[in-house]
Amino acid sequence: MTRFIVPPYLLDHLARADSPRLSRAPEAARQGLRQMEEVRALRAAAPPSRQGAVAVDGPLERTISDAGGTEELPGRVVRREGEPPTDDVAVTEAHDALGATHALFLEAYGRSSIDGSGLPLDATVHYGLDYDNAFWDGRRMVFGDGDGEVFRRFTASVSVVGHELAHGVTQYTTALEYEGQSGALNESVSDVFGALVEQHLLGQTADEATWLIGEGLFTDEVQGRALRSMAAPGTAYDDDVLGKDPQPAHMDDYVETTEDAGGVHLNSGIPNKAFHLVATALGGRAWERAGQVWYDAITSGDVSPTSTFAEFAAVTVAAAEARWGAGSSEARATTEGWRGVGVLAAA
Amino acid sequence: MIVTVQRTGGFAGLTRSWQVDVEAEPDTDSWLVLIDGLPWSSTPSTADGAQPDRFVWVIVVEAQPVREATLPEQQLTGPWRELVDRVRTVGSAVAPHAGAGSGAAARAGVSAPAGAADGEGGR
Repeated sequence: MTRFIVPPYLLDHLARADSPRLSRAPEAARQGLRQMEEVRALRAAAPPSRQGAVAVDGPLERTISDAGGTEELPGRVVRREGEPPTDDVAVTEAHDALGATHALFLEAYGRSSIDGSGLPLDATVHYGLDYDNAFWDGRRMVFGDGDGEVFRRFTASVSVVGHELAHGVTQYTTALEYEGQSGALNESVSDVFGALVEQHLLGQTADEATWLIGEGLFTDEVQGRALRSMAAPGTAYDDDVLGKDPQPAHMDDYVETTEDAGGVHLNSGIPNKAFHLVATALGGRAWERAGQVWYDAITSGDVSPTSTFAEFAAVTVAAAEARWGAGSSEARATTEGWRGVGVLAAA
Repeated sequence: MIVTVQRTGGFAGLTRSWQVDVEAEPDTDSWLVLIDGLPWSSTPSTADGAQPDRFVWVIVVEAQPVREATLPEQQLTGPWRELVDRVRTVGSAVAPHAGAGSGAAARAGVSAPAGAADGEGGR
């Protein structure tokens, strides 16, 4: 992706400058702005992503393996890149969702696969018996089939696949430590990009999106729509056995616990809600601006592995200002999003 | 003697627990041999190769003294795995809950009268 060192608002200012000191600079700035517009027009005119489409300028190499109910990895290869679908719906779902994830990162952010260098995408399905989980093991995605009582198969949700692969992106970018606030940020970054993968695949705007993570994972027995809600943390499920979705939506309700590495899947609700606020304040397709802010933040090099929510928030605001200017609607929405969840102080 | 295994973490961040009273089991001796043979004082560090969204297992044996081990899913192998599988197969599921509360509070809930666990059924 073309990256411009001088941000647009600076070029704009220069383009309009009228000073005896400047003879060539304003015209140079105008040319720079025209070039940016051309690049933007080309990106906007690019065809929408299609499920399973092969990217043109970022290699996509998917290999799906079957662990056959064992916990042996990688398992037996059952589908390679370019091969037709098999009868196994889990294989098809994994294959297609890997493609959708690759497509978001390439088309929206110019990132070639998880590592930015075309890393092959490998997944293993049918891991374990009644295994109600999915994970990224540092090199591949692994999916269980669920226990059939509470959970269905984990390939059934595109947001889950995107979430897990985003852990890989985090591994190559911020390396946020998986505990406490940095761990909750790690989890939230995965939910953010997991949701964006799904929205990008379906061509949804922020208003049209469900903002649910893991919709369709629960069996019909469970009273719940999804595992998590970014729009309304704490409302995704309310079941007589599982209990109620415990996610907080505001720093006032931050959960102190020793479980779950300090509640990384719980407190992620707070930065999730911040992102939702930014995305809906800006409107339109969330991956284009709110998602761009978050992507710029995690690739800035300014997020420490032990970042707190507040430190991460500051990096996102700086990223929005760098790309769109201080005082821009994008920068203001980012600040307001974090204020809305109590991470940044009110004005 | 109550043995409790608690599974926390995972993509869903849910905590589920199972427990068994080994003295009420017909093969108590084999349970005690298994439990005594475990390397309680040298459990693998949870920091080793921590992977996001993996489960973390907490095993507590309410004996004198109480024995406790915390193991990342990847380290739940051999006799540790055997103990967990036995407890899950034979024991009662304690109502899973999602999240808040320290490990100690969760264990206090687990030690509640048997009636609380019995009503929870197969989940």
